[in-house]
Amino acid sequence: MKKALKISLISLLSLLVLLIVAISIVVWIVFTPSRLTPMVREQAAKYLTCQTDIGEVELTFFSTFPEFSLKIEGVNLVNPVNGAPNDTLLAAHQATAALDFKALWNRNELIMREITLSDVAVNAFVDKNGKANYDVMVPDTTAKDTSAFSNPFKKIDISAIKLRNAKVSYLDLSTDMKASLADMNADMQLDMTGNVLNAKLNADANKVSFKMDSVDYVKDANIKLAVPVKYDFDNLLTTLADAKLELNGLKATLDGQIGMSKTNDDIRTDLTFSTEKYGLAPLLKLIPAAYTSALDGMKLDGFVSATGSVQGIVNEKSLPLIDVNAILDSGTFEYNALPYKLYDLAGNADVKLNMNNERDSKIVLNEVHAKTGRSQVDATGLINYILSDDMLFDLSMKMKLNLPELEPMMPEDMNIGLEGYANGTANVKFMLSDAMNANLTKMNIGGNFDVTNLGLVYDSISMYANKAKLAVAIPNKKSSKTGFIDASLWADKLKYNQGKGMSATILNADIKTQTSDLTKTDQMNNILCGFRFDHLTGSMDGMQALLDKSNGNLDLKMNFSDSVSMPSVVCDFDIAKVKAIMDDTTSAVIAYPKGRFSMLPSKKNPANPAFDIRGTTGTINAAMGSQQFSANDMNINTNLVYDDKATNALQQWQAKGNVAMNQGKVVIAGINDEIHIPAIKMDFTPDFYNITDSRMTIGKSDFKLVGKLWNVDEFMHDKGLLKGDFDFTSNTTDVYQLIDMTSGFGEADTTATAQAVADSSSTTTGPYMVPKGVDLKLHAKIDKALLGFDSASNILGDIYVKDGVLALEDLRFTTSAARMQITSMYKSPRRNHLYAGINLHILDIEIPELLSMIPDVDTIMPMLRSFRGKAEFHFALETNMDSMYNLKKSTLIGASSIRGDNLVLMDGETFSEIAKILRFNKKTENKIDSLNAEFTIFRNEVDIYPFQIVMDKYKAVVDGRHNLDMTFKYHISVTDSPLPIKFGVNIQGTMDDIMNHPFKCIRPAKCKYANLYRPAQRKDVDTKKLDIIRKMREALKSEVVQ
Amino acid sequence: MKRISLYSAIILTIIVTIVSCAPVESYDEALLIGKWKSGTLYYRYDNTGSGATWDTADDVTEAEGTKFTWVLDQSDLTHILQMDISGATVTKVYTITKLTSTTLEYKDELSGTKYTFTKQ
Repeated sequence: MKKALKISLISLLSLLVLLIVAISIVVWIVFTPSRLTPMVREQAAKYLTCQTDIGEVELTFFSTFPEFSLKIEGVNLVNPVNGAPNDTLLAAHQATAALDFKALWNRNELIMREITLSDVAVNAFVDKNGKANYDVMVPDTTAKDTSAFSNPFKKIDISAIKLRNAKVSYLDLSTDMKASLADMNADMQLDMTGNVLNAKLNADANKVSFKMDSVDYVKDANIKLAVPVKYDFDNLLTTLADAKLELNGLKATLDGQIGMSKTNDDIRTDLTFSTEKYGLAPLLKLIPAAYTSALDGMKLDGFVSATGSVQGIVNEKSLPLIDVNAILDSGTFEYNALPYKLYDLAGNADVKLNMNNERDSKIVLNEVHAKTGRSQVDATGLINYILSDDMLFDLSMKMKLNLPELEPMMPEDMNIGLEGYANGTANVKFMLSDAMNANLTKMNIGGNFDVTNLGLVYDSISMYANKAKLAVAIPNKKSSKTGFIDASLWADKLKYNQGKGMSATILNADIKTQTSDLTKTDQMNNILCGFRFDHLTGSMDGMQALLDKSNGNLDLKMNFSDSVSMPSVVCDFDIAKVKAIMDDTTSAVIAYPKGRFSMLPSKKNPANPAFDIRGTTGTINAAMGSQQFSANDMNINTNLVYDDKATNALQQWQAKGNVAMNQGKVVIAGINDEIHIPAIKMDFTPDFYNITDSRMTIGKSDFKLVGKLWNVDEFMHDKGLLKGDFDFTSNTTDVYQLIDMTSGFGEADTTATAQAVADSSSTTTGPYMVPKGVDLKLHAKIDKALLGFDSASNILGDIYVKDGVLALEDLRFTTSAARMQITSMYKSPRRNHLYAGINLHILDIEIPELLSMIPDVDTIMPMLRSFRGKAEFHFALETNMDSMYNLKKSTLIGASSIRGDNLVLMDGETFSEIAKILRFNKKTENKIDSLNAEFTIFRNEVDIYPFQIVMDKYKAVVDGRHNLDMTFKYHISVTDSPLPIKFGVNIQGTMDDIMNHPFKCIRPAKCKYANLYRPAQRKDVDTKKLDIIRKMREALKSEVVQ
Repeated sequence: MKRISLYSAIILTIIVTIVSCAPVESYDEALLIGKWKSGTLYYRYDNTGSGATWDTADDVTEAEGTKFTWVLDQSDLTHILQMDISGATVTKVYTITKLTSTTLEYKDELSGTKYTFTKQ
C-alpha cells in the first residue's frame, strides 16, 4: 500500500510535472504574446466593426497559479462619428482577467478571481439621428434566440470585478442628454447559482454630471454606492437589501424589489428608502436650478431626513407612487420679501407623489414649528396638488405673535405701528394662485386671538386695549350678502384717539363686523357692524359724550366707485343712557334711547339723503345756559328727505312722521316761569301738521292747543301763507306772557327806514313783531285771562294771526268791572311803524272804574270825572306807534260813544265852577237823566259832538274841542233855564286858566244850539251834525254781540 | 220904548239883509287835486274823492298815510276819515279861505286855527 501510494504519488507528481511542462510549453511556446495577440486581434475584427487597437495580449499561468490569467496591455476602439467630441469609443490601459480553469474543467463552474480594467475611458455618442458610436458589433445574422435564459455554468463566481480610474462620457444629441463621470473606481463581486445572480457593487466616482434639456440635474457630484443586489433571472426580479447610496455626502439606504414583467414592458417597483440627517442647504443645491426658481430670494437651512417608498408599475403610461416622510429640525428661513428670519424651524411632513395623477400629489404637514423674533407659529395641515400648476394650502396654526413684528407686513405707505402680544389659532385654506394675487374672496382664513396690551397707531389715529380678543373668518358663512369677512373685536378697555381733538374710551367693547368684498369697488358693498359696550366716554373739540350699556347694529351699503349716490346706513340702537356735554353750560342726558336711524339715498335723487328716525326714549334732560328741557319720555317716528334744490335750510329738509312726548318741561331765557308740557302728540308731513294733543303750562297759564297746520310747503317756498286752525283752550292765560313768548317770530323788517334802524339798536329787544307769512286762527276758550291790570273770565272768541297782523275778533269776556267785547288789531309792518286798533265795547261799567281801567279816557274826555253811575262805553281807536310804543299822534284817529242813565254829577272841578256861575243848588245831588255823548279823535284834537244834559232847572247842549295838550274850548248852549232867554257860554283855556282867570276864560256867548233838540226849529246844519252823530253811534254799537 | 223897538227892528232888518246878501265863496275842485305840504304835514287829494294825510316827522310815509274821503262844497272842505278797526268815521270840516294852483289855506271854524299849504 505504501509502495502503491508512493508509486501513485510519484506517478501523480510526474503527471503534474508533465502537465506543467506541457502547459509551460503551451504557454511559452504556443500562447506566446506574439502568437496570441494576433489571434485576439483577429477574433476582435470578426465581432467589431470599428477600428480596434489591441495591445499585447499575454496569457499567464504561473504568476496567477492555479488560475489562468489573461492580460491585455492597451485596448482602443475608435469609431469616428460626425459630431462626436471624440473618435475613441473605448480606451483601456490594461485589462486582466483570471479564470479558475480547474473549476471550469472539472465542475463546469466559471470562477474568476478578478477582472480588472484600469485607466478606462469611454466616450459614447449618439447623434441627432440616433446613430450611436458604440454600435460597433457585427450584426448577428442568426435566428433570434427566444428561449429562456439558461445559465451554461453550474456556477459563476467572480470574486472581484475592478474598475480603476474610469472615465465615462455620454452624449446623446437625439434626446439632448449628457452624462459624465470621472475618477470612477468600482469593485463588484458576482456570484450566480442557478438563475440567481448575487452581486455586490461598491463604487465611487467624482464629478458625476447629468444634464438633459439644458437642465443640470447632477453636476460634479460625488457618488458612492454600496449596493448588494440579487437578480432572479427566472422571475426577472431584482432585489436590493440595505443598498447604500451617497450623493455628495447625502446618505441613503435603499431596500426592495424591482420586477420586470415577462409579458410586457412593465416594471414593478416596491422600494423603501431612508436618508440620514442632512443639511438642507446642500440638499437644495442638488436640485436643478430650474426647479428651485420658486425659492429665489430664499435662504433655507437646517437638517432634514427622510424615509419613504416607491411603489407601483413603471411603463410608458405609469409611474410608481412615491411616499416620503421628511423630518426637518434646526431650520432657518429667510426671504427677501419677508421681513422676518424664521428660526427653529422643525417639522414632520409626508410627501405623497403620484405622477400618474397630478391632483393626487400632496404634502401632509404633520407638524411644523417656526419662530421669528418673539413670535412663534405651530402648524399642521395639507398642501395638495403639489405637482399641478396650482397648489392648495389647508393649514391649521397655533400662533404666538409679537405684534410689532407684524409692522413690516403692513402697507408701507400707511406707516402703521403695532404693539402687543397675540396668542391664538388660525386656519387657512387657499389656492397658491389666489394668495399670490391676493384674491381673498377665494380664500378661507379664520383666526381667533387673545391679545394683551394691544396698540395700533396709524397716522393721527391711535388705539389701545389692555386685553382684547380678535376673531376673523374669511369668508363669512353667516350671510351671503356679507360673505367676504366676519371679524370681531372685544376689548376690556379700548382707548381711541384721533389727533388732539378726538378721543374715546370704551369699556367692555364688543364689536362684530361682516362685510362684502370691499376690494370690489365697482359694486354695492355691504358692511354689517354690531356693537355692544358697557360704557363709552368720547370727546371731540371740547364736546363730550358718554354712553352706558349700549348695543346696536349698523348696516352700511355703498358703492365706493359711485361718487354720486348717498350710502345706505341703517343703525338699530338700544342705549341705557346718553349724555352729551357741549360746554360748561350745554348738556343733554337721554335715558334709554332705543330705535332705528336710517340714512338712505333719496328716491327722487340718490345724491340726496333721506333719513328715517324711529325710536323711543326714557327721560330727557337738556340744558343750554339757563335754558332747560326735560321730558319723561318721547316717541319719534319721522322721515326726513333732503332736497338740495331748495334755497334755504328749512326747505331743504322735508319731514313727515309723528312725535309724542309726555311730561315735558322747558325753561327758556326771558321767560321767568317753567313751561310744563304734560303731553304733545303730533302727526306731520312736509305740508301738514296735525296736533292731536298739545298741553302746556307756563307760570299761571295753561294751554291746550289742538288743531291743524297746513300749506307748509308753499310757506317754505315763499309761495303762500302757513295756515293753521286751532282750538285754544285754557283755564288760565297770562296774556302778557303769551305776547312775550311769541314776539318776533318770522320777523324781517325790510321796510324799516333809516330812522327806524337807528331807533332799533338791537334785534333782540324792541316791539312785539307779529309773525309773518302765517295765517293762523285760534278758537279761544279761556276761562280766565290775566290782563295785567285786571283779569277777564269766560273769554270766547277767535284770534287771528295773518301775515303780520294779529287780530282779536269779537272776543267776549267779563272783568270785575264790566262785560266787555273787544275787536282789536295789531300790525307790525316795520319795527318803527306799528299799528294798533281797538274796537272796545264796555257794557254796564261804573264810570270811575272805566277811568281807572283806561286812564286815557280821562285825558280825552276829562268831564267824565264829574259823573258817577253805570254807563255803556263804545270806543274805537287806531293809531301808529314807534318802536317804543310812543303814539304817532299824526296818525291817531278814534271815535267814542258813551251812554249813561241816571248819572250823578260829581263834585267835579269843571262843573263846580260852572255850577257856581249858573247858581246850581249845591245841596242837591244832581242827577242827569241821560247822557248820550259822542266824540272823535284826530291827531291832537278831541271833538266833542253836541250832547244835551238836563240838570236841575237847566237844559244845556255842550260841544267843544279838547286838545291833547290839555287846552280846550267848550261851548254850552243853555236852552232852558230860569232866565227867559237862551244864552251860551264859551269856556276856553286850561283848567289852570279857569281857576286863575275865570272871567277871562268863561265868557258869555251866543246860544249855538238853541234849536238842536227842537226838531221843528232845527236848521240844516244841525240836522247834518245830528246825522253824523247818529251814524257814528250806530257804527260804534253795530258790532256788539248781545 | 216903541221908538227903540222900531229902530231895533230896522237895524235888524238891515243886518239880516246885508248878511243874507253876502256872497258865498266857491272854489274849484280841480285846483285841490294834488299833494299839499305844510312843514312836515302832507295832504294828498285825489280826483276820485279820496286822499291821504301823513306827517313825516312821525316817520310815516305816503303809503302809510291815513286815508280819507273829501268833499268840497263851495268853501266847506270836509274830510271824512275812515277807521279800519270800526265802521265809525271821523269828520273834520274846514273852511277854505284861499285856493290857488300853489296855495291852499283853510280855517278850522271851531278852533279858529288857520292852515296854509303849498302845492308839491
